[in-house]
Amino acid sequence: MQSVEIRVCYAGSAVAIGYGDAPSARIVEFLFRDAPSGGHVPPHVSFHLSSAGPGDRFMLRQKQAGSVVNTGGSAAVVAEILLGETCHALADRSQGGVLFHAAALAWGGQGLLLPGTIAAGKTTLALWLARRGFQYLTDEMAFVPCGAGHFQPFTRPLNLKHPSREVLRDSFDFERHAAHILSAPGYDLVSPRALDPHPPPAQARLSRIVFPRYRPGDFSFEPLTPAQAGLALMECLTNARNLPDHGFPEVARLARAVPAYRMTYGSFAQIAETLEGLF
Amino acid sequence: MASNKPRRRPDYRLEPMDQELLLFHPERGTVLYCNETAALIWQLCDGQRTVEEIVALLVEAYPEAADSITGDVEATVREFTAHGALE
Repeated sequence: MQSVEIRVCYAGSAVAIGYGDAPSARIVEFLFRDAPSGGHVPPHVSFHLSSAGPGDRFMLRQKQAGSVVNTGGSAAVVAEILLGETCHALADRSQGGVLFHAAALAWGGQGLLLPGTIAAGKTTLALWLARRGFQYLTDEMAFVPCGAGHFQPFTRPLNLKHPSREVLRDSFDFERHAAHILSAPGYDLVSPRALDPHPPPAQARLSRIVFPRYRPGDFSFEPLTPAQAGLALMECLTNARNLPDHGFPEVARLARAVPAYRMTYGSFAQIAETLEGLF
Repeated sequence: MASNKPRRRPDYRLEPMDQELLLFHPERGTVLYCNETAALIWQLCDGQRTVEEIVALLVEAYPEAADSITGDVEATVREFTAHGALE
């Protein structure tokens, strides 16, 4: 097999990902099948994935500004590293809009943004909502171009930590979808195709913003004032350093324009009707 | 505290949103959220008025909340100061 290179172009930033053998091609396809690829931004980071001898072993090489980092591991381990490093590299140079650390779904063509920092439970919530009829868009990043009323999701496999398996036991059959899952100790990468065989839309109208917070036993759902929403959005903005005025004018614009809520939940049974009722 | 004359730092940008405020510091990239009360106190921190005078103004405007205004103003001024938003 000849060496192949794809470009993932997203949020004003780009990375190149190369591979030269069939097992590596399958991993890249699994990770980036639905990722955006258009655009003319030159990549500032390049990755190369290759099989490393017999068995389930791979080598991932990352080149950036003259430095090279090699990482070895199983398919699931290098896949998780490649996915994470790609997202990090894209966010690092993102410009031309505001990039939020957020999960996102669509309901009847309207977009629901779930911004949250690490461990807010975004991925688990996104998978559960996808099983309730929402369309999965991303569990990690959503980009709103300057002045736009829509967002572009970075659609990728859901990165589920293993405690989520128990939480999602009644909603998602991990065994039945094993062909769409890469598992490693501690986490599962679940292909969006396990949730929906159709490719996701490249963008969705930004209709509602819900800041989720998991807290066992509690449930509250409160509208936020524009100022409260603006502060909460700034806390989830990942590319502020690349933007004029740290992206604040764009965040303020969105905070005024889009209804936002804070949701504290302790179980999924509490939230279904609430979120479906938003649309 | 009562005789202090707190002054808003001029390098904050105000983003009024309904009755509330976001205070944005362009160089640091930090944002402070002010509810309606805090927004009012911020506006009154002009470097001319003492904290005591700010309290008196608010008590006159909101006599029904007179019992809590002194504590609210002092706590808010402390909070602004801790974030470097007052001189």
